[in-house]
Amino acid sequence: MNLVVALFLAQDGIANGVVYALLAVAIVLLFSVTRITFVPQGEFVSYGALTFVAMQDGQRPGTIPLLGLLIALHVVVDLAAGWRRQRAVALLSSALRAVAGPLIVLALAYLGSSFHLPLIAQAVLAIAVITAAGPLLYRLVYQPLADASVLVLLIVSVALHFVMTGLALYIFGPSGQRSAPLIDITFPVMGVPIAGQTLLIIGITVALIGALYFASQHTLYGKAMQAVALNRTGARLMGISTALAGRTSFLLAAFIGALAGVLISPTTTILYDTGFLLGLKGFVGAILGGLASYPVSALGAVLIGLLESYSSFFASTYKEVIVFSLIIPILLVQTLRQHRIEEDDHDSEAVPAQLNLSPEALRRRRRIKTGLGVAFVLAVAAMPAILSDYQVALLNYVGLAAIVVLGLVLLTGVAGLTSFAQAAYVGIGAYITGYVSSTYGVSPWLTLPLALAVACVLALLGSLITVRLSGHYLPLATLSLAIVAYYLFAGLPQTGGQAGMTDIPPLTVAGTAVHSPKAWYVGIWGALLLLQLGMSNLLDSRPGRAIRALKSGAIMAESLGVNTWAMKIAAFVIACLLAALAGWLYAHFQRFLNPSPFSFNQGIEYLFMAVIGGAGSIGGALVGSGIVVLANQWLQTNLPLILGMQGDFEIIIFGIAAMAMLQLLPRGIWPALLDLTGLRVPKSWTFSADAKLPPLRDKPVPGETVLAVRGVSKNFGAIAANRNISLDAKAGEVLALIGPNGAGKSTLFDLISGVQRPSSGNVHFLGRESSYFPRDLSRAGMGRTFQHVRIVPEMTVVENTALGAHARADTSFLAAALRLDRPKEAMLIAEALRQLERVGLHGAATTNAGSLALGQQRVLEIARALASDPCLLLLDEPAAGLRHLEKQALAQLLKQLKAEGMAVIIVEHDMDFVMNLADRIVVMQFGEKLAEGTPCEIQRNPAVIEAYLGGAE
Amino acid sequence: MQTFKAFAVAAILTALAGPAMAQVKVGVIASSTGPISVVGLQQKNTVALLPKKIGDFTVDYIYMDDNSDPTQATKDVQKFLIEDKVDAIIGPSGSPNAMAVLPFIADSKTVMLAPVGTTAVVLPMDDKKKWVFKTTQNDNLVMDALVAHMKKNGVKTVAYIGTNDPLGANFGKAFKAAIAPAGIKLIADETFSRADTSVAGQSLKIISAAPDAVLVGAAGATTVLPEVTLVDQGYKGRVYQTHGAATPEFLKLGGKKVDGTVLAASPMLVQSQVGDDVPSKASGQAYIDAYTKVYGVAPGTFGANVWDAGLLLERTIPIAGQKAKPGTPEFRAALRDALENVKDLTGAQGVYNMTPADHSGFDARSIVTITVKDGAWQLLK
Repeated sequence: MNLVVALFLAQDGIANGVVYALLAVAIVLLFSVTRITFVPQGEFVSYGALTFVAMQDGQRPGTIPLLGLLIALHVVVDLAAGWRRQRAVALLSSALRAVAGPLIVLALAYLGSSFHLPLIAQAVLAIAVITAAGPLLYRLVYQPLADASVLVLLIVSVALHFVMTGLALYIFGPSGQRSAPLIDITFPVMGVPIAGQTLLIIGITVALIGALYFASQHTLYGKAMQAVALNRTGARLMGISTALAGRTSFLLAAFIGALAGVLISPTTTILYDTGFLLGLKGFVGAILGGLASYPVSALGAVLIGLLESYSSFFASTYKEVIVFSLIIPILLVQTLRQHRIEEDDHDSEAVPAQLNLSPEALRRRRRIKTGLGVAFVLAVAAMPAILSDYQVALLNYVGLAAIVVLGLVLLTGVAGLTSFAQAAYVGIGAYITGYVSSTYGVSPWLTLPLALAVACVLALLGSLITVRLSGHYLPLATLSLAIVAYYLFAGLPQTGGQAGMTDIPPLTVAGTAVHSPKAWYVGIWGALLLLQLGMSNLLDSRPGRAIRALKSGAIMAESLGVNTWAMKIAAFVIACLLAALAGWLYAHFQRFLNPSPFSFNQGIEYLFMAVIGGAGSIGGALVGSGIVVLANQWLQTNLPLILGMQGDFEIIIFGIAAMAMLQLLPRGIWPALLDLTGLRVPKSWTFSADAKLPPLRDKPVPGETVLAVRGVSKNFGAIAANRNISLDAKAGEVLALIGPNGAGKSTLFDLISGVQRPSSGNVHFLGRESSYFPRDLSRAGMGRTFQHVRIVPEMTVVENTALGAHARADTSFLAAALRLDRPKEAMLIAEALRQLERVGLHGAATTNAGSLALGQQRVLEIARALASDPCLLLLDEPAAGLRHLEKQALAQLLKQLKAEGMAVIIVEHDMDFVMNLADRIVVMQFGEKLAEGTPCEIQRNPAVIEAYLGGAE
Repeated sequence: MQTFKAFAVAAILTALAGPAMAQVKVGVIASSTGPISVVGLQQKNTVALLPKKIGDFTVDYIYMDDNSDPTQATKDVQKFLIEDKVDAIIGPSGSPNAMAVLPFIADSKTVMLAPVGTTAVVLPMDDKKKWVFKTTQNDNLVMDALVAHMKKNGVKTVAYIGTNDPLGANFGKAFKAAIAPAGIKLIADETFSRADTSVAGQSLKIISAAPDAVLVGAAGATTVLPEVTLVDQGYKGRVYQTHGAATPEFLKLGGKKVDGTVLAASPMLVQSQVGDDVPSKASGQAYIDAYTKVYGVAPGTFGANVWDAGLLLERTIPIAGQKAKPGTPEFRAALRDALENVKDLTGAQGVYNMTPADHSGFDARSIVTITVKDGAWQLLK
């Protein structure tokens, strides 16, 4: 490669990169304002470009009637909303006002496409049509979902992408288009021709980023949008309309997309589905910018362009493999810069209301549920007798998908880790067995362990890279894995490439090859039912509870002794093993492999199935895959008969149905069905009274120093939150920490509990210097509660409490899935119940923790902390929200704990409570220790009186 | 709840059952969406032009799209075979798709008329492949014609650039097999993605290898970008295209920059220029007229392969009908035997002569070399 080639490639990379940068900017804008991961951003590009070209060809582009349709829908939806609220007249006028802009654009475009306008006017019109559609899309698709989780918004975006691609094929046809050049000048720079076009795109990108940056910092409107991005509820309270901010950001995003489309249409061939890959690369750029910074995202996108350009020169077959493999280390560097325990943004999903049923009614419903379960298994068993071979074959595809989605339920629904890579692991399982059994003639039964082992190793590797990543980095990392895997499947010589791998031997049972779909049905559905049972067992066990706790925050789980990192890896590996198993089955059932069933699109589709069915529920896995697979097949069979037109209609209808469904049931179909039928009943617990309790640890004797804080300071940048603080906590003593708000009590709490590391000084726990890791401290005997209650709302009270005893038993995943963990489980539950009884919550043991009153949730946290058998208990404002009698009961409990030799540190604002309870009090102010002494001494301390009465607060 | 679901599943599955019985059922699979939709859509459109009545039989065509995905093609074929119990299958559009469905076709002993280029679906002839008949010019015929042109023009080294999808992979395979005996050396082998907006890197690589000629292996509008990029970057050698470029978009999007391109395709592409000595001229015109009447635009060459499948059925169904009733294994076997004995059937693109050993039908007369001159196809004599 000489210099000229290098320069050539650089100019090509930058020319592509700036287009990605434009899209990245739009994606960042949308995400920061609306939390929507807008997958179809690239679609705006192809729509803009193809509309522009259609106008040049003297046609009336199909996007114009489409805009009309969107306007009509918008009015209808607004009116329907108004009808319900009986304010139809006012809403009619407001609905019409909302569509006034798009209507004008529609009229202009309609007129404009009747004449032959100059090129630039056509460009403006094309951009205007797409831009006008942006806010309408937001209103129709996303506004009803303003409070949905990021995952649901992502899935809706995927559905919208399906619809837009399908419509594009219908409107623009399958053939590609290219526009007449806008600027036909090239400037030679050092022998490399630089197209005027490229300079134009660069100029516009830089100008746009500058304008957006300026607007977000210096204009009222921009600041309002920024406010929505930071805090939706707060913004709403301040009178800023989130809907308006959403519409505005969609207007801008559609404008940017269409502009990019018009700009690139002269330089390349635009197909109806060109946009998706462009958008994907924009998305990657946006992630590299942390989905927050416009300039960094733009630079990231340009970097992608350059990577692509150079790798297409060196190894075009492995271009995407190279680009996306390089992204992962970049992501790793990004996360390593972050602090130690990452607290993700958690979507607080509403916990479904629990039915208040009499024991008799509960028993009846449980019986119905069991009956239905048995009926379901019988129905599954009866299917081969009722259905034809083809129908059974379809059910086999459902079963295979359900096995993969079952893994996603654990990984995404329960553990909260979004993965696009599941299809890749299906592919690994399938290709391993396909290659080994067809090339070396090895029996498929022997390749099963091999396929699982390889998948396990690759899943471990994959998870070591990805699980460390948090927030938005994880989905992107898995997406990169998925893309890398797909192009390896397509490019490696062993896989048969795009042409596929044939001649995979059938599975043989007792010397006979299994061919018939019905025989396969037995295997696939038998495996599925067993795996469902195992998964349901697993979730109802010690490791299962730990995984279910992951979504509620890493700090909470770590503070209960849960190794969140290991749990995430375990969830990832289990999900990948299920995927690989499905792949192995698939390879021998289908006996033909090509890369498309293992593509990233398919990975997205698995996620789609999980969310449609209900991402957190085992039943949802089956419902979701059943609906998606069968509906697709049904639409594919019947739509051509009904419509008889060109286009991807099944995908359009399917996408629209999926969006409508998620607007109505954002939690998925299965949970909605459970609520509808009233069959969401808590698990029945049977406890033997004489269950053994887990072993207790050796406790320090009363009076012994449990915790010694020596001269700790903590600085956050220039702010000193704690300055040179020392204190002791002794066994059998209650130490209270008081002080006005902002005095540094919470920071000190964090330093003691290991959430933060002191800038200087040190903390000794039980005579050893603290490791400043919450998990280690918890396991060593430090129990804590949180100022803002952190529980797992969808778990029952007793399960939440048992989580506290997590570190006191060891149960393997396999033992849990096989139900071999019952003696240990009984021990943990017995301990949880004992602690609940102690704090007076045993009556509520089987209710969902989320439905407790706030005060009771605080008490639950104490029970949970006690279940870990601590010798030091850290309580952060435990009396807040408690009623008088409850406070008395709490005081009684703490006194009893003290008598048992527990050391207690308590932060509390209720002075009566503190003065009656504490043995010693430490008063803090401005990050420093102001005074220390018995309650009597503190009450007489002039400095304290000054601080409290003198107007510090 | 679960019971309800079971019922729902049963209800959905019942609804999947096909339409009412017709006398002869033909399943058609084409890739009307996805990467090779540019091929498949014309084929799908052609289904409406196929004969609905053959002799004493009415023919019911059931259409399914395979999204250009071989796996979906196997699902479609299974549906046709098990659910609809078709007597014959036309399709699928892509060579890998056809390869993928072979075992199912052989298991069910049903005839498949495959409008695909690869000879691998019929060669080497065995028990599996004896149910398959090809209705498209063999890929190697296309490649042989191109390579012959290369040889005549003194091409010693060549580069290949194809799409990273089944279509491009297949062209690449056939091309490499054709140049080896001709002594032409492949000195650059590049791939690109259909959705790529730039192939500058691949093009630079090819130019730095300096081959005498370049072959682009893609279909529809996708064929344009590599050629235009090569020309823009100053490549002076000749660019060859396969019949994948035989579409109006190629001329429209390529403009002046694709002048001089050489491609091998069916005589249909230059219908008015071929002499009356080309046997398929009249038959090709019949197809063009029928298509234009319904869709208002002239067809490319891809749909003609499905049209020809209709012609083959028109000739053989009456013969098979004398031996057995449609819907029976005997009918399907008789249909196969009849197809194997087709002689001198003139299709839209060539003349079919089947033998037990050769199910590919067309001879070299079905391929002509064509160049682009002043924005139009020009027959090379």
